[in-house]
Amino acid sequence: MAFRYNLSDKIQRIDDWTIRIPRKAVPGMQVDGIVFADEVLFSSLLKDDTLSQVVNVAMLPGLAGPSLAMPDAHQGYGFCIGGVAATNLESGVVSAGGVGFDINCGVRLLASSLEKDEVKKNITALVEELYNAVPAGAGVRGRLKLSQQELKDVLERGASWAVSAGYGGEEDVEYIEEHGRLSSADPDAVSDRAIERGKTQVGTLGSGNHFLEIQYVEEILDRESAEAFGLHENQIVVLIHSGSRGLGHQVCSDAIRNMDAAMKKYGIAVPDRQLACVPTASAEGKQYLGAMAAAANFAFANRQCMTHWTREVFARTFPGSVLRVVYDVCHNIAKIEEHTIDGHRARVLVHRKGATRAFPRNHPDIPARYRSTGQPVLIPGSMGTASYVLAGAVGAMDRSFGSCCHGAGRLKSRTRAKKETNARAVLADLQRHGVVARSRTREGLTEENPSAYKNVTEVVDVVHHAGLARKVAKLIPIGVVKG
Amino acid sequence: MAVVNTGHFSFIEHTADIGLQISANSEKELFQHSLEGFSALVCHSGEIKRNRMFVIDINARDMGALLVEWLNEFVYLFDVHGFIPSRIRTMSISKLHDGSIGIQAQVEGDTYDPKRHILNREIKAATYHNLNVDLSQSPFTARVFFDL
Repeated sequence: MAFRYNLSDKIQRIDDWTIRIPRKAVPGMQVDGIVFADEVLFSSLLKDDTLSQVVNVAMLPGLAGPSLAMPDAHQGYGFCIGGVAATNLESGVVSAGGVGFDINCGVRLLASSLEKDEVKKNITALVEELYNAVPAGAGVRGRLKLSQQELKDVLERGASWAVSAGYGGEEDVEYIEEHGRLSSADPDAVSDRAIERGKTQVGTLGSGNHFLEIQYVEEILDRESAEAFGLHENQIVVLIHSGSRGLGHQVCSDAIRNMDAAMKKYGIAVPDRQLACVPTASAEGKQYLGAMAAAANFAFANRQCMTHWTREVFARTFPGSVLRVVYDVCHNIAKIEEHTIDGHRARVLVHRKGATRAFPRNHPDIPARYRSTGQPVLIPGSMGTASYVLAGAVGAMDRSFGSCCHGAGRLKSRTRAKKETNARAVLADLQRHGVVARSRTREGLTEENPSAYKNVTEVVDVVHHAGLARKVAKLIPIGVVKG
Repeated sequence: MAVVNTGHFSFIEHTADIGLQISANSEKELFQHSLEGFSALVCHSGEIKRNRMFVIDINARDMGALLVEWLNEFVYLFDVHGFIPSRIRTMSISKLHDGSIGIQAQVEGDTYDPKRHILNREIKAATYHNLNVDLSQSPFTARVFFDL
């Protein structure tokens, strides 16, 4: 591909979990690249363009610190997936490609009042009911059809819109990153096309790697934090992974087109057009950040509606059961946050592209209930394999702008993953592992089969040892709904 | 994938997503073949009828951006109208006063029908990542990556 740099003799290993690509490795780099990976994970990064993309991001104007890649990183477009970069508010830029198309793609964990054994007996029927209750897949309309004004309310108020419309309770909002609403949202900055795409998509799962999984807590790895998170062994939990759907995709497409055209005016050149960016304080930058925040609010409302329908299904199947929101985290977002840089506190714009916020204990932006442990960090594995709950750690503030990984990370292309198996074989394999799966498309199974991903345990081990987040609980799936 | 050997387009593997490599003897063919590749990515079986038409009127600062915008028109039309493109009925490409390139086209296609079409996947967008359009020699070639 166009920009694969030869970095083999320039890479420096800092410790068992961290690698540096020095600023001088490639002309044009403004900062170092830092990659969190052990030897095994790092070897997979040498096979694609991930490291070159870390280098490309290190060339953006006004960076406030290194260009980072998390241990689940893999080649993306512009930024690598698993990439994090912070830019100065005055001299730096905002890049729509640094957030990605699925704005506020994220994960929500619900903790149930049920135990593994009672749910396992009904798992096939439960998965079927959830499959029917939560619209999933490409070309599938949602259960809600909103007017333009209602959708603008969604964009303004996020999860609170859903709660006031009867989808969930006020207590849910407390346990969502940013309380489920970015107050910087500007619904008027969202194009008519994006609005059009969003009208029928509130409360839809989507396709690709999005999912709704029923899991149980197999192992508690940090008892004190697990207690604060309300998790215990054999407890049934639900993990929902979805984003801002077509509305968010359109916001990103609109912004990349605008930024690509505007860069010349600002004297900005980038090594990959997908890194198109503009000064954060510019009119184009402000417009994008307002639209992005609105799309993020759409995603919060989206996950809130799906939570409500999941609760309805559980209540019908297991009368009296409760599903409490443990936490809801964003994967693709740019947010203004305060960090310590070279010993000074500064407000910077943190781009997380396939990365999770991981704020530690005592951080003012996390719920009081988690103030003594750090925020829950939710790391889904690949379909049919373990997921992890972690707690944000102090090292994340020191080393990664309060960020850590967001999943297992892809290893194989969708084409290759699909070639190597078929839907029937994937279903049979999942069944052998005690997992009942329901997918609207064959590709939902073949392209997302577990062999297409890295080993999530290796990924979270790096995060744990690097001090970005602590392992709290290991979750095992028993039911999967996919688009 | 079963549809890679059409001579009009092929798919390129990418860890996160998928790319489309297009080959054509004219600019119109380049856009026609890109549209065929798009439809093959979205839907892998069932006849794509020509019972519906949309007018496309877009412009961009260069041919690469125009191809991205063109494909993103179909991402939008599928998302909102379930439109699966089949054939360019009429098309003109023109250089505009501000130096940008415009395209006006009538595109015929089908409406997604779960009884007749099997969908592969959702396409989020065509991207500018490693975008390339080469019109300097025949056959013309183009490469564009999609976010899935």
